[in-house]
Amino acid sequence: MIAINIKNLTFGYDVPVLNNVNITINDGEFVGIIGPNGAGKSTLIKCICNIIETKGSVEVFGKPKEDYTSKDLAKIISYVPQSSDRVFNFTVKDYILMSRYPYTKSFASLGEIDYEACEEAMSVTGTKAYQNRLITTLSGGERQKVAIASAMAQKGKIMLFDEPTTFLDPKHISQVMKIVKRANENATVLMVTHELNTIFDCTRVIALKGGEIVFDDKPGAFFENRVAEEVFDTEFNYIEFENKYFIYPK
Amino acid sequence: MKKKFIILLLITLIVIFVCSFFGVKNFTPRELFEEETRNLWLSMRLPRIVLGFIAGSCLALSGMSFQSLFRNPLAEPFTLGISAGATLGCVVCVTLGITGRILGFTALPLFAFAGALVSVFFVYYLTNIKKNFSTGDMLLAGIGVNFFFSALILMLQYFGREYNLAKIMHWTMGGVDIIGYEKIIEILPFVLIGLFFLFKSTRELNLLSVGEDIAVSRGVNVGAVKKIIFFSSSLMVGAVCAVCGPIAFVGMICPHIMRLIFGYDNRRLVFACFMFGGTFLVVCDTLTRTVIAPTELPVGIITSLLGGPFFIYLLFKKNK
Repeated sequence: MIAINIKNLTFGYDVPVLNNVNITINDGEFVGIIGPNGAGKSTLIKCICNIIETKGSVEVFGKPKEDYTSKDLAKIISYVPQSSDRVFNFTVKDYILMSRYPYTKSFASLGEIDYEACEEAMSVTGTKAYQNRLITTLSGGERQKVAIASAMAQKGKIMLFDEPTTFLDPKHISQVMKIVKRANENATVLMVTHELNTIFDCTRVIALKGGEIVFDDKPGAFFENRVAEEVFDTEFNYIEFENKYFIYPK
Repeated sequence: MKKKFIILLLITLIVIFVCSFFGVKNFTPRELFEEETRNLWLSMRLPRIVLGFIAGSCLALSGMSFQSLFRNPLAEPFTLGISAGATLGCVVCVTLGITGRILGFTALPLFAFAGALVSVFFVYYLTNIKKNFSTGDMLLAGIGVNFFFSALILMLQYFGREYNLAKIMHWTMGGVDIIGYEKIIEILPFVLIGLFFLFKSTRELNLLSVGEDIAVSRGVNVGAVKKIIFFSSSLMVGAVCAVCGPIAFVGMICPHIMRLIFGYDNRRLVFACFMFGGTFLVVCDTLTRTVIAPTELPVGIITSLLGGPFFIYLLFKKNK
């Protein structure tokens, strides 16, 4: 079943950020989206979840996304944004519960099912221990896990991650990647990343450059064909270990 | 949390009750058993207390919603130029000598509402014209609108009749000194509609306060919610300005104090701001009646004296 079908997607003010992009993503896939800064990676996933309006079409489970109401689309697609400073302060639990918005009506209280979804998201992401703490008191890694828990509580069949491991230490990178993989058990995952060593966990890698797709295949092919040089315009060192490649710029 | 709300409610009721006895003429509870004094209290003091409470609540709630919407602690109807727009609407109405009713509503609040909407329109579309318009830019746009409308008000005052001039001068200082309930009843439909929509939008405001990207991805129709907030705040601020004139900084001070006690969740904050905003203005108004009695100060002077330093404090805190 096709989860997302993107046709002729174009976006940009003066210079095109995305240029006639066509992608078909099947249900259950774990797609890593890579590319240099400004390649249009974040823009692509923001287009999918309606944050940015673009030319072209995006179909979600066979239906144009414009045909969904805002709430109905949010029941299908969850989004984890890049980390940012938050001016207003909520407790972790309150913040995660806010993601149940598409399932509730005006003036109605949250129901048992909403609290269950929140509990489940907190236990999967390991955020339950600090559920009553304010978000601004958390470390970067803890905040990122809370952001993922918040998206998980939304119970979408498609999850979009925008650089989930940026600014994190190795311990938190490992923890976050385990959570992302766990999310893929119940949802199609699209993950924008600059951590090239994390894409081995993906089932498919799409590389963008200058708003166009320059690579779309399995992660193994990305390393074996030495595509990184072409995508990032720089040389890389490759280390092969236990049938996996590790890569870092020269 | 429930305990805190009960305490706030009790404080609100006690403060309002106590404040109603103090003024140029002080009353004692026992005096209310005398018919003449009770009539005086009911027709002069109580309407003023009720209006003060409504005005304070509306301004605090508008401030709360704008601060969440723009994710900026300095946003409020006064700093965004909405009060200035509403005041300009009132000044135009008075200068043109328009009285009576339009579509069943009194002309003055309608003009104030229209003025508030015009300034909201200005600020909102200025921010939409420029790409990457920050919330800080939004406030600067509000200050620009404030200056522009203030200049128009001055111009209308300059060319206006002497009788209107004194009326407008007194009005622009902000005050809740009224007699009887007529003006309260006139603005009540505007206030109630505004309150309904603001209370309805608290969950959307929570998500917007975290970020527009998050709000959209969680299913909020951001464009529609923004319009609802602008519309309902304009209704309330317009109504308040029509009777009380522009009262500065209530919309900034009250939500901040309430956040310290009740946290950032707008679902709780909306009740807290409603009670505290009203109580705050009633107390400020009581001060204006008593500080240099028998002379009365306009309440806008007291709120500005408190709000100015508070604004600078927030500015420094934000920059830190």
